[in-house]
Amino acid sequence: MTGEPIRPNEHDLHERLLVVRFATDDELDAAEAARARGLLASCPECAALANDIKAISRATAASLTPSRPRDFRLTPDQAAAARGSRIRRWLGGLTSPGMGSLRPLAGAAVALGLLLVVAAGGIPGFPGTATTRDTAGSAAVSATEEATISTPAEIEGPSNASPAATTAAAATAAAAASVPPPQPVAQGTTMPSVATDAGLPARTPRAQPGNEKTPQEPDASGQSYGEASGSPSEPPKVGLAAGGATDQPTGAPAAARPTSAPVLAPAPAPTTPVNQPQGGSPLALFGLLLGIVGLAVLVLTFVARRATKDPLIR
Amino acid sequence: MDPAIVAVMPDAVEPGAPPVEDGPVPETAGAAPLEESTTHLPPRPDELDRARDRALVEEALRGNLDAFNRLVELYQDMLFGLTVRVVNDRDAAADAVQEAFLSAYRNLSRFRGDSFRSWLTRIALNAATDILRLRKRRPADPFPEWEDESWQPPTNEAEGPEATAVRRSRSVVIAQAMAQITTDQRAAIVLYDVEGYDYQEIADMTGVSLGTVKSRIHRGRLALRDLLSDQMELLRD
Repeated sequence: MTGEPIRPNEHDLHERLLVVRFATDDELDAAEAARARGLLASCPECAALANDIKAISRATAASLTPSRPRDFRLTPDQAAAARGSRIRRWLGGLTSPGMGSLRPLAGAAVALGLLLVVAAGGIPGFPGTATTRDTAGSAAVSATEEATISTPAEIEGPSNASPAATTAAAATAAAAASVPPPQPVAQGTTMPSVATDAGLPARTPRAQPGNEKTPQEPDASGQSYGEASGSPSEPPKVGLAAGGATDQPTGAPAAARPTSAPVLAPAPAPTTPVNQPQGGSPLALFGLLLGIVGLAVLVLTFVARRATKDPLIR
Repeated sequence: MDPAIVAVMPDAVEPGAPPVEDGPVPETAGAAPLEESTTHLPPRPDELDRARDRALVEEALRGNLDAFNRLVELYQDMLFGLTVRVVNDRDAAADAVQEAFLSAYRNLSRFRGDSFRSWLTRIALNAATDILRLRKRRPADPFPEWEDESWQPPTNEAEGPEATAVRRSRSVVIAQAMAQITTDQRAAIVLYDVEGYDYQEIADMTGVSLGTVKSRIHRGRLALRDLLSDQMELLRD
């Protein structure tokens, strides 16, 4: 027993990887390079390591390999088998780099199509969706506006039939608004009985913008429509025709009230249809078509990628 | 024949011409025979080679099999040398190279990079890696055909028999040591030291970061040195 402490090999504590990097001319910063030079200068084993790494690198680059056992040129049969069927080649063409923009375009088409369908009010012709309801609502608004527009024209004439026309138009608008979506609404007719027949409280026409506007607008005779319809000399037919609350709150059920259309004078047939056709707007149709085409392209490219996927191309 | 091919490769194969007989591949910058590679960094394919490759690819995409086979001739030795170093098995390496060329032909329309050589190398590396993964083990006796004539280096009158024997011995010990390091380290070292790619190219090729490539190369060299510490006298000049 000498009693001398066993000193660990100092070289084992040195940064061998740093020496390897320095020996192979790796990009070292100034501090690392200085440290590596210090190691090479002070530690013979580090210097030997650097020399060995250089020798191994040279020997590896110059090492021999066995000659190839065969020629790897493709025969026509191999090439035909590798090309695959026409469908596979066509699908492969869809996944080529030249068609790289196809998928983003298809995705954009789907998004745009959905946006157009939503903006146009839903999927056309789909019963119970927002399309038909909105169509009815817009029809009501348009009918009311039509009534307000057509009324002054009639006011110009000697006849005082404008209140009746207004009443009929407003009634048509309210009826259109309360029509259940699947049921088509006949043009120029009022359907107040939809709500009233069920004994339900009818919706107020005041919620309609047209009806809010109408009472404030005086006609040529200085009498506002609201005044005309709500004047003491006439029964409150407008409110009833609209199927909602009247200016004279009676508290009676709506079903007990007389409907306005049969009572009033026949309204002139509107120049435009009250209801839009339930087929939807062309914009929605275009959006739907765009979305379908985009979706089809997305599916096609997905299938093409799956069908032509090569495990060696990754 | 595309004038571009004729411009960059006067000896391009005309469509319909009889297939080129199997023989020594003409020496080009991109296909230097590995048996003769004695420099640290082999010559890299320059722009002319890349233009030639692109022209051949376009010609092959038009259905000209001879154009593709010309690419095969240019790169089959290089690819075999790469894969045989990675998989340590001559037959498996040949299978990997054949699969690589078939896959390249099948997916030729997907080639977009400017270096066909790099693209092909990546495919061959993937094929070699797949073969190793299928084996799930390293060969216990790498290169069992050490005494095969295929290992004999080409006769070099200027070198002399003694130097030729040294070269062969060095190659054997290097191959044995390379077989014992990890596949990733081996592939990175072969790509860097033998094929001459730089770190970034290897990173792009293998799909790992630059730091990972450097780490694999440095740690692989360190492992090789530990494995070869008893035989370093043979490797020193």
